[in-house]
Amino acid sequence: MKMRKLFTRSRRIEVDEELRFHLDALVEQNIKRGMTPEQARRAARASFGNVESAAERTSDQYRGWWMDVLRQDMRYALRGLRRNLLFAAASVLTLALGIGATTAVFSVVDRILFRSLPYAHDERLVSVGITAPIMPQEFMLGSSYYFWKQSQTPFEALSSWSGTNGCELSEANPAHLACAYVEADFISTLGVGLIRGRNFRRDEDLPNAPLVALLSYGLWRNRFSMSDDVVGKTISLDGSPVRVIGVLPPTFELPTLDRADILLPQRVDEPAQHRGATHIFYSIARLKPGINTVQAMQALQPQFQEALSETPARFRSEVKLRVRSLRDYQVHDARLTAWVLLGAVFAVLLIAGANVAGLLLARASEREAEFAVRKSLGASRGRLLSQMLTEALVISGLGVLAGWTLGLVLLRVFVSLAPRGIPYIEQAHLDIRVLGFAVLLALISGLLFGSAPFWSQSILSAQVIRNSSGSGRARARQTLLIVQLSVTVMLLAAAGLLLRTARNMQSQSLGMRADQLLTATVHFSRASYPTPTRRLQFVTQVEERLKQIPGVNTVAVSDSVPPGGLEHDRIIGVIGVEGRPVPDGGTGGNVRWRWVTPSYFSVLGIPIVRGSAFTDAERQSNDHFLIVSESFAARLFAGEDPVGKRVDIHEGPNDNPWYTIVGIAANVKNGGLVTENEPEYYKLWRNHPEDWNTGFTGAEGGMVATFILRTPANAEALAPVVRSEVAAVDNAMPVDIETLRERIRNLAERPRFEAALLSLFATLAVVLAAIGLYGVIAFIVSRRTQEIAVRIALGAGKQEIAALISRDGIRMIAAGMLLGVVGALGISRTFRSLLFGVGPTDVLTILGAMLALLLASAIAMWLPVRRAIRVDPMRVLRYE
Amino acid sequence: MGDLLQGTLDLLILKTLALEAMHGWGIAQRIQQLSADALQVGQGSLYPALHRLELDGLISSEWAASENNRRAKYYSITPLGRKRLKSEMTEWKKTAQAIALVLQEG
Repeated sequence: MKMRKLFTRSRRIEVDEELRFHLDALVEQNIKRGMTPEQARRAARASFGNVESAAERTSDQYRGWWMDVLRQDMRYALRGLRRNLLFAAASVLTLALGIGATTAVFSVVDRILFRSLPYAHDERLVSVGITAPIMPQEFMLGSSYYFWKQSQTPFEALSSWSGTNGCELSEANPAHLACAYVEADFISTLGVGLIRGRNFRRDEDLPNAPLVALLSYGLWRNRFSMSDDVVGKTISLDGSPVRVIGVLPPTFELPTLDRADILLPQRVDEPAQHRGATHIFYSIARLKPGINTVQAMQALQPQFQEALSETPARFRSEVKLRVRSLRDYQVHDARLTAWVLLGAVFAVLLIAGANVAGLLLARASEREAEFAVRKSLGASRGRLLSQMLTEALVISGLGVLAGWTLGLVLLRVFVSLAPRGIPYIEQAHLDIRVLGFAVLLALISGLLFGSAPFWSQSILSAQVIRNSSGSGRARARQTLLIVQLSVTVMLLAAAGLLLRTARNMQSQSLGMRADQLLTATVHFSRASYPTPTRRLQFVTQVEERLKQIPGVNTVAVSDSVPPGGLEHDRIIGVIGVEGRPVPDGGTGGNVRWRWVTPSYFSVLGIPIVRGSAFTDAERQSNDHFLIVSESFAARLFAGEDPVGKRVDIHEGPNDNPWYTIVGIAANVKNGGLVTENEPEYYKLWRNHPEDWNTGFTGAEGGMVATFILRTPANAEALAPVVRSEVAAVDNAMPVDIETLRERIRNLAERPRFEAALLSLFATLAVVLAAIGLYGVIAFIVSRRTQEIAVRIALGAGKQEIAALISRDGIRMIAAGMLLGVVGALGISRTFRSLLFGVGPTDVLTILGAMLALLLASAIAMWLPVRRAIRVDPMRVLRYE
Repeated sequence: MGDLLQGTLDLLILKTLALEAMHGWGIAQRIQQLSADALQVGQGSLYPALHRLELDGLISSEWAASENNRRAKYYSITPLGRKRLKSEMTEWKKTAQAIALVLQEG
């Protein structure tokens, strides 16, 4: 802006000087003719006219000139495009597809990979802690946290939190909320400022301090109508009075992105920790400026050694120190998916760009003659260039507009398809930066390819009329096409691998009969089911009712269902076998366990390979019983027969009951769909209140029970019946009903999403590449029509003509495929960890990709080749 | 004579500059002289025309010292300008002949 002003100002000064020179010359002339200087000046002014307006008009020439040129170029461009509608439509469509897909995916990926976290100087925030097989997320334990906090050197601040829990706002209109428990300096370490009130004080973070709370912005808005006097107000949380001291900003989020409506001090009893209590802390820290995570890890060695010394010797080798950026902590494995998507989308953009380039090049060839004529008529090189660029930019502009619209639609589709657990996807929207990205892309492609005709010197000379082979340009188009074809093969291969992954995950053997199974899950809230007896009563009643449903004979109850779900883990190393010394030498890895009733194995169809399943008599018994999986039996009893043995599963520090192993169950897929089977044991869920006092306490709080029914035919059909039976016992009890197949499908949701997106891109790529191929071959045919006519006139057969035309095409396809296969083998390694049940160099997938491209290529080539063999030599040659 | 038609003034400027490079004052003088004072070029149209021709790439300009040692802007014709002059002159002659023919007929 300043530049322009300067520019126009200095131009105006120049014009003034030029006119003054003229005026002075006039005065001099008048003096020579005998006037006095005074007269001469007056006469000169009179004959010159208004100096100011002359200067104004002269300067105006510039603005007017640019406007005229622009208007003219625009008119030419629009007229040219109207005359060649197919070219215009193909270019705009190609750009729109490329830009639409790119911006939509970029919008999703941008939030995962590039977005800054809503914390001050978020690049210096890290998650710190130790990891162990049972806790793959970094954590700190008991007193060692306080030691770290006091003695650490690499951080400006180290703080912690204790996760989230369900909590109830028990007022006139109760609401189920998520409460997060944090240390007093947690939000100041994150660098988050409050919009109302104040932060926690250290004395409020003590075990018996009166309860105070920070509200999330959402809760403040929805529940307290954003009133200012909420600060100081007392609310009732889980029946206790809590004083509100502040409101968090709208952008606030927990490092894990978990929902949090209320922040409470974690109020950990520090002296108790020093006496040996083991509170689990999740720790975040702010690096000192200039320190990176690697240096921080080194600086934390003394603290880590201290933590190791607290760990039982046999587990030490499995405990690791971890310091990683908060961003890495948040997005985990979403990162690789994001890069794969970004790669795919750039590949599509590349293909689209190549298509537009090809189209513009073809158009340039067509217009060579026109330009040569206009040049010989005196059009300047700059004017021709600016006209071509205007045309290219008009196409780009339309492409951006169409692409933006398409991007909005695609983003909506992605968000609706996306599985849970892709961070930030709900917040993804096409923002200004992404628009800028799209416009930039279109401008670059427009400028680059719009000026393509000027790359070759031929257009600059009138010679071109005679010599219009344009062979350099043809070669450029062929190279572009080979690149397109090879990138398409890569995309097809990648999409194929992910599709097979999704299929493998869903169709693998689970170790049980998954069809015709219906699950109904209930959550016992602490408010309505405060005692174990009440819970047990509810379960027994519902179980009885469900058994009565016609066609359903047996009903199992469990607190989780494989292959996913909320299981419990225990370190194998702590489990003792009667008559054996306590083992040492590592944790021994993890064993999963769940509560089950006797019919669990028969309902799920899990074979009991030794011993027997639990019996109803055992369910009433006062003794404790266990069934172990084959892999756990092999692990714990290598060779011995475990049935009848008694084990101590180390449920507390001392006075543990002995559990009698009554049987061995076949292995079941129990760690999600992807991981290998893990050892497992089953605890009998007896009809004793003591068994209904524990259980999984997740974010929802309270206990979970799942009823599992084997249904006669279609499992879904029974859902309403089950719902009404549960309601008959307690009509306020919410119940989640799902077939086991649905559960499995949900677990494979993420790979399906990835596969769906990549398939979309691969399809797009195939279509674009086919259009590109069609364009090149059609162009060859139109260029060589005369030659073809002559050949036909001289007696060439259809096959010879077809071979002549398709020879180039086949060469390009072969080259593209070869490059594509090499590329596919290279890139598929990078996302090996996303694959399941299929290797990155799967021959079948790569053959499939090649076949798909061959098919599309054949169709794309067939049309122009058909036109070539149908050339009528009489008609063509008559026009020569 | 009154205002010249835009195209005509361009033609006269190009013709004048085809002989030698000149500043605006000189161009105006030359046209006046050659036309035996029949054509008077107004400064209000001369300078806009010069600047437009320069933008079109038909003439170019440069600042240099004048006869009496003052800074003046000198214009000279470009190859593109010569080409244009040639075609415009042919066009002009054709038109002039055609008009002459029509007028003689009466």
